[in-house]
Amino acid sequence: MTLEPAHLALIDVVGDTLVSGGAAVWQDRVYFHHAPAESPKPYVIILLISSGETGRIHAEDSECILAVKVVAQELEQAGAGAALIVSLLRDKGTQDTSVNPLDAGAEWQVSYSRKLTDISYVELISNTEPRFHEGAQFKFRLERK
Amino acid sequence: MATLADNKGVLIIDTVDVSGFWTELKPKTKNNTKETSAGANITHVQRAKGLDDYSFDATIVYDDISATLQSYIQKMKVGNKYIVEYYPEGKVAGKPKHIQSMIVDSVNGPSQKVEKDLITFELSLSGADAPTSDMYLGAVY
Repeated sequence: MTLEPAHLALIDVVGDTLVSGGAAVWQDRVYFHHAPAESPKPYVIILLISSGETGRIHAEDSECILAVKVVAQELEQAGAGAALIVSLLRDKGTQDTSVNPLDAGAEWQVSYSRKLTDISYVELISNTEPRFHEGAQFKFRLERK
Repeated sequence: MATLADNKGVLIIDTVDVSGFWTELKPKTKNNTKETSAGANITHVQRAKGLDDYSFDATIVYDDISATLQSYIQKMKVGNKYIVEYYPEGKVAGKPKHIQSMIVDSVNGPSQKVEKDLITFELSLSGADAPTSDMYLGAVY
């Protein structure tokens, strides 16, 4: 049996949560690391910033930091998308809530999730077309079940 | 010289093994010396050996699985006396062991903070009798 790394289990559940919770805004356009060329906007990008054991307890655990941002052509839409991301991912571990906590599958439990720094910047395409990136970094703590 | 990983210590309280839950173990020993200073021209305190006093501080993590928590939280009732076993490098032949009857002196916890962190108990035990196996006298597993 191959044990699944914590960050892959986490990215799966975060992706599923964003697709189901944000379908009205970005449909299923939630991507890991980069979006396909010419992808319609808005879309969501998930980036793995760091992942590793804490060494603070005997059981296998992991602290993962993900950057999650929405990319949109309108600042207002990007801001609203970022607020939706926060509402879907902040305080969603089993220690945070008993109502639909993030379910990371058979091997891992998400104990808590925490919003860290905000992400906010503008990219200019061909020096004319703005693309707004809004979101946040989140820290997730996972324990092997 | 040795560099230990500091994670193999086995602590058993009244036959309940809490080895998977501790984050810090601190056995402490002291001798209750008695001052015996005497004489007109002495310049330093003189002392004689008194009774040995062993104690043990342990930080134990709160577990969110109810059955697991119940297995050891009930060993934290202050005033209770238990046989405490401690093996700094685990139950390995030739490695130190310490077995002693101890009383639960005090427990702080479960302590928690709004900053998401481990929830812990700080357990303080005091020797209730002479050790049956004293690692400071060379007792080994």
